[in-house]
Amino acid sequence: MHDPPPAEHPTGVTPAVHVDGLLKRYGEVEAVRGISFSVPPGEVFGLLGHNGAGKTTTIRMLTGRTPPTGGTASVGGHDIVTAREQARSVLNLVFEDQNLYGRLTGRDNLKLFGDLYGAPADRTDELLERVGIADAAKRKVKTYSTGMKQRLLLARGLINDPQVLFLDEPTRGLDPVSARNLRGIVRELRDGGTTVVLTTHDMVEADELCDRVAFLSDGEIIALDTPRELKLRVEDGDRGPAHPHRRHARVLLADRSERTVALDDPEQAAELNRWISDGQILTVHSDEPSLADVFVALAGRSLDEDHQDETEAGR
Amino acid sequence: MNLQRLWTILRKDLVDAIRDGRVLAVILIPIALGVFYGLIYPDEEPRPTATVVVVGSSADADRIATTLPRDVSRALELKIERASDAAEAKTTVADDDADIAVVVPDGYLAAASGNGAPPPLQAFIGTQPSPSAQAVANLLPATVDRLAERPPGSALAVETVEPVSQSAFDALGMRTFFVIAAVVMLLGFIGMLATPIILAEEIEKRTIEALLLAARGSEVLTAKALVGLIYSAVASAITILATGITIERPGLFLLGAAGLAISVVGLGLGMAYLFRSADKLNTWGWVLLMPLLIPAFLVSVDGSQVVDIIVQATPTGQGMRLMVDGALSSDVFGGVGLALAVFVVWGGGGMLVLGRLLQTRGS
Repeated sequence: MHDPPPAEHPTGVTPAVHVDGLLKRYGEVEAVRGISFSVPPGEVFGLLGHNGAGKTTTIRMLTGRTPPTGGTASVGGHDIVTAREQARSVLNLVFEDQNLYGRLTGRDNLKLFGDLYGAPADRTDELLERVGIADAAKRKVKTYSTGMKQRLLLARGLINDPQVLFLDEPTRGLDPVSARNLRGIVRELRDGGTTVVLTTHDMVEADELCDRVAFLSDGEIIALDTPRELKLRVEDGDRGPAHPHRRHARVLLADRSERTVALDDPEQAAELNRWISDGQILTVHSDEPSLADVFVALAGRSLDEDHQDETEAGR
Repeated sequence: MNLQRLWTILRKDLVDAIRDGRVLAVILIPIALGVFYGLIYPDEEPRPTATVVVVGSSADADRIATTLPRDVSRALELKIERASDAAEAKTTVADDDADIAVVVPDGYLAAASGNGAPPPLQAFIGTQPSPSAQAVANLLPATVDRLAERPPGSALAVETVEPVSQSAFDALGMRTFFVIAAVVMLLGFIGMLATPIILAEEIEKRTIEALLLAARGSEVLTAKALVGLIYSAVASAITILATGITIERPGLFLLGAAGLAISVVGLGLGMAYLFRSADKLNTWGWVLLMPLLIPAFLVSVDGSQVVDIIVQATPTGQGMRLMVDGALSSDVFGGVGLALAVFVVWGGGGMLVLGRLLQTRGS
């Protein structure tokens, strides 16, 4: 059977991921309500939203693990329904669960998937080296720390050298050092031309890593843009009584006093210039809204509510 | 189906599953049980017994009934029963309630005395006589000659009798019967506990999600089934070789074992998706397995029609029947076609449930 040719975008560049009216219904419940977006090659794209927003269902559909109820989607130019095998050959997924074989060594875990994908024999050792666990390659995975398992999962996600890598909550449960290391690897992947689609609860992480983000709420995309544009969009609007000034900065002076300066107030701006000239400023921090603020403004709910719900449900 | 991917998953499972203590225990327990049966039941009983029916109420019949046990006592322990007519004696042999029956006409010993050819003494013996029955048939003429005070040479006119039914127990002996029962148990354990534990652990730990991203559902499923079948084949071979039981018709024995193994592996894989947890399966799988193993032991019971239906409708019952027949030189049960149909229905049912579940999961 011949592979169907990759679908080409009207712009002439085949998008790494293209989603058009994607719909998923479970009985009466619409988990994903006809979402559309396109991710160009080499971009880190974030899918953000609360629990039940439709992130995981979208990833499941894009990775060919559940069929959509409606709409179309392609990965690497291959339709996820009509050319599922071809689409799967150009993508990979780092699961949220640390679904590794505990009784096998790290190397055997990786080699298993290398053999399944038909990867070159030296790919296993190369990836173990790349994610920094080559020294532990011969140890059984059940002896690994959470951070080491996450690195191994990332190596498994790269075993077939995917054009598109899906990362599902990649830093959840990791210590700050492991999370920082993993984010560094994601940046390297982007620099190497790999497209990364990331789902996360962590808005700081999304802000740091993603070129563009889509906010999902109740199965719909309520906003899609670069983090900077999204923040500006909210900043230019009403941010509520907690933030009466539109643009301001927090300044720490040499005498250890902290001042808040409204940047759109000419008098305060002049004072800021004077402090700079006098060399009195130790640090300046902008007081722009975070992506979490943006999400609250757009979705009308906080991501923290989900964490509280999860905690209560777990009791 | 990609054979390279299938082999990769199979190879991983063969090595990985045996490291799981639950799987290892499930395989080793029935092997140990089979070897135990082989040891506690000796190959031959020290002093074989036989039941002889003496037909007739004459003084000659009484003398033969009294003298024969003494004459053969060094070789056999005889149980003598009496019957009033030849038809009754023939039925007793056919029902396998006696090894041999001897019809002693009135005045036989007088007629047999002297130097001329004695009149034939009629006897009934099964088509597959036990060594004890054969021994009685061989020794009886000498007793008759002595009682008739004639030189040795009396002849028996032996007529074989087709048995109405023969129990597996009697046909095989306890040792072989219980070793085969242990093999059925082994196949049940591997098919309905070890194999589903392997799959359920993958589901529970979500490693199957990663496998299904890299391979087709049919490849994953076939690999799991093959692991169960390979473990079954190796463990059965070890049990049979370790106990040294004789298999007269290996082809039929293999057909029964393979059919049962395929059937319970298919059923077990379906169970894995219902339980979705290796620990739950390890705890509750036994509850389903035990009732399914009982029919294997019921094949030796000459019971009611209900028992017979249960035995014939279950894969373990049918597997045991085929394996018992395979261990003998002729059929005790027969019915290969029905056995295969039962295997297909049970195994296919389990695989259909699993296939449907995998399909709905988009794999």
